[in-house]
Order: sequence, then structure tokens, then C-alpha cells
Amino acid sequence: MSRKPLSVDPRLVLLHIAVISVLTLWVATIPAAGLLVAITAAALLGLGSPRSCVYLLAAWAMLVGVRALLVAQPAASSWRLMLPTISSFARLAPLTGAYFLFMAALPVSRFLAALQWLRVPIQVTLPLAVMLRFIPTLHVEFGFIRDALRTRGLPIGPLALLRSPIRTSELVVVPLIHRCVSVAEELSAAAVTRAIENPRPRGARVPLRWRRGDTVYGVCLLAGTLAVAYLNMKAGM
Amino acid sequence: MSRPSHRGLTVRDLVTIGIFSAVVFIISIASGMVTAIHPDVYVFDPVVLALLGAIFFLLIAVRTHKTGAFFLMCAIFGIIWAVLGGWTVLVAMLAAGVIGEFLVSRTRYRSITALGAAWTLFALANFVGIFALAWIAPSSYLASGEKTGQSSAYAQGILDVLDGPLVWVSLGATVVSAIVGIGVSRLILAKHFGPEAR
Repeated sequence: MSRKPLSVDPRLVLLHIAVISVLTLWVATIPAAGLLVAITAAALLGLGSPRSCVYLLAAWAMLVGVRALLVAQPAASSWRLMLPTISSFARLAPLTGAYFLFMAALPVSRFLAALQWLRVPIQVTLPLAVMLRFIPTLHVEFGFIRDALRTRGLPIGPLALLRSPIRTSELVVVPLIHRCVSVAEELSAAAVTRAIENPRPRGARVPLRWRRGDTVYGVCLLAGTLAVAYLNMKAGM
Repeated sequence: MSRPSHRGLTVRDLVTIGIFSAVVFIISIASGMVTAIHPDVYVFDPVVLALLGAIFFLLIAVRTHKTGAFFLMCAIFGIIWAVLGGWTVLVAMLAAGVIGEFLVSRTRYRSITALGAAWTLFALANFVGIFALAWIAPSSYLASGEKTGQSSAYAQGILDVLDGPLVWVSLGATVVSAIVGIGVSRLILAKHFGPEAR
């Protein structure tokens, strides 16, 4: 029998994302950042997103592995040039977890409901929600454009960009703009159909209510935050 | 909770701002990743966004023509960067948003000069936001770089670049790129979307 994924109050998910953001800036050691990644991965697993959990852990393992290899290189090695970039990625990996968390636990309607509860105006929440949801789609859109250009035998890739930057950029940017425009039309039509312009406060199919699962999630989040803080301070001594 | 009225930004406008801001944000992330290879290159990070992001800003302007679009774009871009740790970007973006909005609203988003000035402000705010921490608190910037596993030479390299003439070259290049970006974008939009897109 499969276990039903945990459903968490969107306000708590927003708090979790804020905690990850603050801790990511504060943690100064790779082990503390690793613990933060592990906690986020556990949350993703509990929220029924095992694929995101695996992606996050795999990305973290890869970054830490590559970083260890770079650190082992002689100081004069040109490979060491990549160390700042890889270190920054390893440091910011928990934020990737926050993004996965956003995607897994905050559908647009729940995100808007949470921000509505926080009295954030829709002029901010709507573009923010669209932006955050559109970012992963961009990769897919770019893939379509790349395939279409290849089908027509048009050059695409870093080499083509170096050979003729303006032409290659135009070949990519113009279809991307057309695609973005049509997505904007479709999304706004869908939003209007769902009565987003209705001046009355939005209703929610699943009302915002604190449940027992939220308490469990909140306690785990608090414990995890304290553990990360402890590990970070211990390493800093 | 306030709702958009038809006089102000409509749902279509808000969605358009969200989508094109996403593209601008992705360009800024990609440019940061590529230029982080060396401090001398990293200082030119804002130049890439100033050049490549202009067309998306111009599209927002062309498709909305309404007060608040530029400020909203700046605010959303800043909020996302603040969540990622770049709170200085948010502060700079809010300031640029207010001034830029004043400039473009006066001409109802129809003057290319005002749009160019607003985009240049956006690019400069991005420039200031990226390097503000290193200017304001160099010692803590250096310490945070060392703690996070970057080599101390890299963090020191960025501080050295910011003290040297290269930062002024980058600042000038950012302004020029923003202006050139708007000019080229205008031509591309006119070519592919008709003269009304100018």
C-alpha cells in the first residue's frame, strides 16, 4: 500500500523556503550546507516528490565531488580556475532545493492563496508566480527551438554563436519571443477564465488551515534549522 | 487584496511582465555562471544582461504601455535575487524602478529615449547590486568568500578589480551595452513584429 504524500500548509512551505534562503547565506561550511540539502531532500521525499529529491542529492554529490577533485589539483593548475564557480554552486545548492520545494509543494493556486493571506497585492504575486513557474518551461521551449533549427539545417550551438553571434542570437531569440508571447496570451486567458480579475477575495478548494501534519513538519523544520545552526557554529569555532 | 483594474495593469500585462522577467532573470544567472571563471571577467557580468536583456524589456514596454510595468519588472527581479542572497540587488532595483518608472510613465512608454534611459538604469542597478557588498564591506566580503570555499585569491581578485580601472571600463561598457541593446532590439522588433513594435 503506497503512503499518501504529506500535504503541507503553503504558508509553512513559504517559511521553509525563507529559512533555506537565510541559512544558505549564513552557513559557511560545506558540511552545514550538506545538512541543509539533506533536510530539504527529506522534505521533498515526504511531500511526494522523490525525483526532485534524487536530483537534488545527485547534484549536491556531483558538486562536492568535483570540488574535492579541484581542491586536490596543484595551485598552478588551470583546472583551479573553476574552483570559485563550483564552490559557489555547492554553497548555493540548498537554494536549488528551495526551488524544487516550491515546484513540488506550491501549485500556483496554493502559492497565490498563501500570498493573499500575507496581504501581498496581486500585482506582485501574479507576475512572481508566473515567473517562477515559467523558468523550468524555458528549458523545454529552448529545446523546441533548437530542434526546429536543426531540422532546417541552421547552425546552433556555441561554435555557431562564436562564428556569427548576431545571426545565431536572432535565430534563437525571435522564436523564443514568439513562443513567450503566445504563452503569455494562453496563461492570461486561462487566468481570466478562472476569474482572477474578480475583485472578491479568492476562494480555495483546499482551505488554508493548520493541520496535524503541519505541526509535525514545523517541528522537523525547527529541529533541522537548529542542527544546521549548531553544525555551522561548531565548525566556525 | 487589491485587484488590477483595466486602467492599470491587466492580467495579460502582469503575465507578460512575469514571463519576460523570467527570461531576463535566466540571462542574468547564465551570465553570472559564465563570467565567474575569473575576477577580471566577472566584473563584466552586468554587461551581458544589459545587452541581451534589452529586447525583453522593450517587449514588456511595447505590450503593456502602462504605468508600473517597469517598476514591477525591477521589483520582481530584485525580489528573486534577494531570495538568492543578493539583497543589494533588490535595494538598487527598487531605486532604479522608481526613477525609471517616472521617466517612462511621462511618455506613456512610447519614447525610445526614455525607455533607453530606464533600461540603462536597470543595467546600472544590476551593476551596483552585484558589487555593492564588496564596496560597502570589503573585509566581510573577503571573509565570506574564504568561508564558502572560494579561494581567497579569487575574492581578493574581485576586490582588486573593483579598486582598479577595469571597473570603470565595465561601468562604461554596461551603459554602452544597454543603449546599444535597446537600439538593436528596436530594429529586431521592427523587423519581426512590424513598425508598430518600435
